[in-house]
Amino acid sequence: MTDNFDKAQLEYFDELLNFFGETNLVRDICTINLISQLVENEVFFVHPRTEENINAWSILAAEQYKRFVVFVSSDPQGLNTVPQVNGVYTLKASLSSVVKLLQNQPDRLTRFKESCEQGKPDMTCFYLSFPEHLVAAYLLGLAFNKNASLREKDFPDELWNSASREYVEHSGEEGVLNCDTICNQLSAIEKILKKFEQYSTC
Amino acid sequence: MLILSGIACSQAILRSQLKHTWLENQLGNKSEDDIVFFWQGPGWPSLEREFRGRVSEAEQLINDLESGFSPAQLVDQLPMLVGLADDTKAAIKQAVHEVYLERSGIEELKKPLNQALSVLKDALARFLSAWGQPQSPESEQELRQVWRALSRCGEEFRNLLDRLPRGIVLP
Repeated sequence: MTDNFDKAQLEYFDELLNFFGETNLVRDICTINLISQLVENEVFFVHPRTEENINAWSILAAEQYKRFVVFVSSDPQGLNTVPQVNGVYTLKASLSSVVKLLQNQPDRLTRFKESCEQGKPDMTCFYLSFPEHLVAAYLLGLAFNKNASLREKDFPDELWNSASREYVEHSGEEGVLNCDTICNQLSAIEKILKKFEQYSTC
Repeated sequence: MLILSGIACSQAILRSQLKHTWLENQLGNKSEDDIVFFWQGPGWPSLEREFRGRVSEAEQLINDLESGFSPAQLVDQLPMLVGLADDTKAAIKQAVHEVYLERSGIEELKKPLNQALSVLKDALARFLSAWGQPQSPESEQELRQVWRALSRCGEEFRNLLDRLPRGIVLP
């Protein structure tokens, strides 16, 4: 990785932090050891209130992995305690993608904050929206292959219409999905759904 | 085979918490000297407060191994499928679950996971026993010895967790 790339990542990180509603961050570069029990050699961003109230936010950016780590703690002892007690959560996603996601859907951030305040960070708030009708159609195709009698069941037209729309949107190709065609389209759908594997917890 | 990590999957979250939070960040990043330092001085809060609970969570993960990552759960999550007749949903769930079991090989991991966790539990019990001993050169040596065993067992269990899916499997 080049220095320029590193810098770009951190700039994106600033943008992300703004979305978290915290513009007055204390930024420090720490070498963190086992005595303080924080992770070594990270760039560390801390909200000023954090030291007074650990229910506030602290965020770690793991430069070397090109991912960011959100650390949320409900421990009243503050940052001197072991962060892992309360969980270190990571997203293997590029920051620009996350920023874009939050720009388009700011309610995700609200949901995430609320879940953290309840002590259970909901990382699904950062997940990419996925083409759910296409997934539903894919499942039906699998099921039809396994149990042919299922083809005779009544499935709503809207399911197939929506799945077909998502297929065209994401593949860029014409295609109609229905009870008769779905079994032959599974490979093509799988290729589309591969694009939605990019977010993962560690 | 696809892993849809972008869809909520409590089993995948539990897996990542056990692997990352417990086995890597609480257990795997400590040296023998670190452990002795904690034992002689400040203590090790996560050991005393959390490790037994982590073992229970690991047992839960293994018990629910097949169902936890199964695409069958999507039938109850995807809006377009939720409204289907109950018998239709049941048949779809059964079919996709069977395909998933055939293709994922997830059942094959259950036995080694159980074995590794059993060994890890024994090692943890021995370590906790040594941890509670009064401090002396002999008990420090014992602590170091059982720590090495615990660390090794933790690594083996972690490696197995690494082989589990990161989300719901689409076979």
